[in-house]
Amino acid sequence: MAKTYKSVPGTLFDVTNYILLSVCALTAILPFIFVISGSFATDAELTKRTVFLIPETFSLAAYKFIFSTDTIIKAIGVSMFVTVFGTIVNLFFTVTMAYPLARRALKGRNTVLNLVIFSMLFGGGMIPTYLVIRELHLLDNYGALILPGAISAFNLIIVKNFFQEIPAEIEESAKIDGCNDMGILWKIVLPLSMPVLATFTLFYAVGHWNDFFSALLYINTPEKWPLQVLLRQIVLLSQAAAGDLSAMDATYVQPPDQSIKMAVIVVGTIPILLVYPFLQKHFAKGVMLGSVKG
Amino acid sequence: MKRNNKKVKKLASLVLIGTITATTLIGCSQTNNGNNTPKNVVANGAETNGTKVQDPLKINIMLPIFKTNYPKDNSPVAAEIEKITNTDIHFEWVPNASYADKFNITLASTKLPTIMYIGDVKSPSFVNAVKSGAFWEVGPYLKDYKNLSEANPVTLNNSSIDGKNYGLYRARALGRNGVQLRKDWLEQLNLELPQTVDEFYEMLKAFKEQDPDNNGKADTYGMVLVKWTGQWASGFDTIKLWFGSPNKWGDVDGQLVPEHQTAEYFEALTFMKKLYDEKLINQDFAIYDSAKWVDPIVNNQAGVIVDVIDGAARVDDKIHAALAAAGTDQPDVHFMDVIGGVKGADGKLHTLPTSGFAGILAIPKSAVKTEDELKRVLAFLDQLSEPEMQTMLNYGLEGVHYTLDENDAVVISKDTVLMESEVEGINQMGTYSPVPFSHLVQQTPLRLKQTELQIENEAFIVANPAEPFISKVYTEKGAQLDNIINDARIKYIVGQIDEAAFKDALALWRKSGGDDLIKEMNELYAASKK
Repeated sequence: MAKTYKSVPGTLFDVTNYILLSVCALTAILPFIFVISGSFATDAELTKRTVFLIPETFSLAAYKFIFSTDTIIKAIGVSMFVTVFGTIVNLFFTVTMAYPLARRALKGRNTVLNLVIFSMLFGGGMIPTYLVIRELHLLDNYGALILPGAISAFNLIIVKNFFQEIPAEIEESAKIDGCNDMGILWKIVLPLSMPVLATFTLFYAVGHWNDFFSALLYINTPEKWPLQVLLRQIVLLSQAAAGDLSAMDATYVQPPDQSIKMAVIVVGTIPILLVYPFLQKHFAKGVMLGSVKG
Repeated sequence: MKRNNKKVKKLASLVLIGTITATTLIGCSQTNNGNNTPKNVVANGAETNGTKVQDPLKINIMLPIFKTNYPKDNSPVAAEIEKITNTDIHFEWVPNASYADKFNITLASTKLPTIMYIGDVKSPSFVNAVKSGAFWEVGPYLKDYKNLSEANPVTLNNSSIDGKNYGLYRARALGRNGVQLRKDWLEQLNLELPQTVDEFYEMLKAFKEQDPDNNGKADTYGMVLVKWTGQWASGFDTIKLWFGSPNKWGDVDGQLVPEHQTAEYFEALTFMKKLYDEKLINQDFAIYDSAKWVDPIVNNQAGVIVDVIDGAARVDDKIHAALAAAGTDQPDVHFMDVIGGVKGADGKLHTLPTSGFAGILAIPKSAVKTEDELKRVLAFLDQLSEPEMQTMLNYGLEGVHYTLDENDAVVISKDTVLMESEVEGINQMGTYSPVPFSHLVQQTPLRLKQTELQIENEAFIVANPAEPFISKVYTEKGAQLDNIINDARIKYIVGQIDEAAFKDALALWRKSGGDDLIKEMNELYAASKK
């Protein structure tokens, strides 16, 4: 690579840029590091020192405590199941609905699209949805976490638009070569759509992983709670104890130690963060392609 | 090959049609079901949930849970309670942090449990449900039961809606608030427990300036204050009473007046400003998280917390734990002390009361259909108030979860996993009325003093005369109104605004709905006196 010539102001500009971007990056990363290192610190140290990045004494006590019962492990299992299975369901239904809608030959396409957009604009709200779920006998069933949101109308439209961008000529030539509609979808359209699929895999997966509210409403058996319900419970406990009279009990509820809270946050966040690097490559492309029309 | 393709094609279109129908159906049913289902639900509920008089009594009970572990339906303590009370109990645990959401949706679904914990008796959703007749009014029945009949009338009134009780309150100490302070610091500085506001101020000053922790550094301050500005225990809410301010609402010549319109309230605010200006309270109190409230005390940075009295023993435990970790613990020494408060200008104590209860246990009519069933459920709750049952609710089974020492005090099992998964949480269904537990955990002198003070405090509580009223204006605008006052008082304390600007904020409060609130409250007050 040839060296590019740079003027003094240009260098200055670059340096300023690097500094600004580093500051931005640090403000995003430091809290994470603090939480992670805090989860390895002893509670005494956490009350004593306010901000630090490396704990004086390295302790696994918080993690030992978390995993002393199988509650969290079970919850992680539930979350993983719902995330993996839910995402598969999401992608399957989104793609199979988006692809036909992307083809101009489909009759009634606009009516269906309008219905989709209608559902996006007018939701039933919490209680009607709850009643539907109950009538479908999905209460206390993982189905309640997966099926109601199987297709996100918004995501569907983006995927549909992406499919539309694929030149019809490619499909026509495939057809001439003897490929049927399913074949075109699987062998031609989907391979061309990896960026958009990766993006929505991530969107859906993160959505499932972070979703605590539907679990809270629809899941009545504590054994079936996903991780986020427990996470919220643990992290919010101390606030409730300080601020809410009804939370105070005959035998006082001791708020969990700071380090335990942090350890739970780490356990709740790291798994989904690990998904990012693998989808990162496609991700940037996918988001752009969904939005910019050529 | 071609035939196959056709099949796949068919399958694809089937899936597609299925998907579309499914989405449209869901869309439709969302709009329809809101009106149609409740009736069906009631019918269904009768079949599945019916508590026909059959032994043992089936009880579904919805309670908040504070831990991540919870007692199972068939765990030993629950089984023992079932045996004694001849019931079949099913717990519906709901994480406390999300109880309100779950509560609302459960109310709306009309498929209610037999017994339901109501956290906020005055919440619109519960009040509306009561007004539409969803819950039994239990008040008239209480007299027929041995324990329930001894309920405290003040707390009964506090937990009522328009004077009627739609549930059994879960009793808590009325005189629970006070001052926690560092005993060893007082001793180090040769100070007595403060008796008056001036002595309280002098103590804070000494804690800042005279090196109470004896480390030669000026690294201490007086009192920890937190951002919490709720109705109770925010520090200021207790301190204002020392100056003679009313608790929320004051009766001036027969008229209800909001506290912040009184001169005493402002005097207390000026006192807080003085504490702030002289750096006797933490300068970041407006954003200080209540989760870290006790940390400065434990770390020898501050000496006073104005909060609940029983917090002192917990702080004491924490100090001991910190010292033990450093290997310098003195197990028999108390580092904390408590007082109920300090005397005001009138030479009297004024302490902030709690409402005396922590939520109620209500009995829905859709789950308990007949009066006979209701009586059985009440008998069950009455039975839970027996001393030995209260002990069981709190500590579990003797020999398994706790033992009794030579003083008849309870020694709880150190096995936290066992306690969490079998005992903790079950006490949520007790009403603890009228008697306190028969056995208590081992009492240290500090804990004994705390209990004594809480009882003593009841004589000095400043009651809020508007407590039982349900205000429409407050339901609509209360949050904004409270925000105006909270903002103004924090700004005044930290010196961002002066007295005139504070008065402006009060005027804004009145304009933003405060006047309506005052009017409504006085109407309710007048009606209640008749």
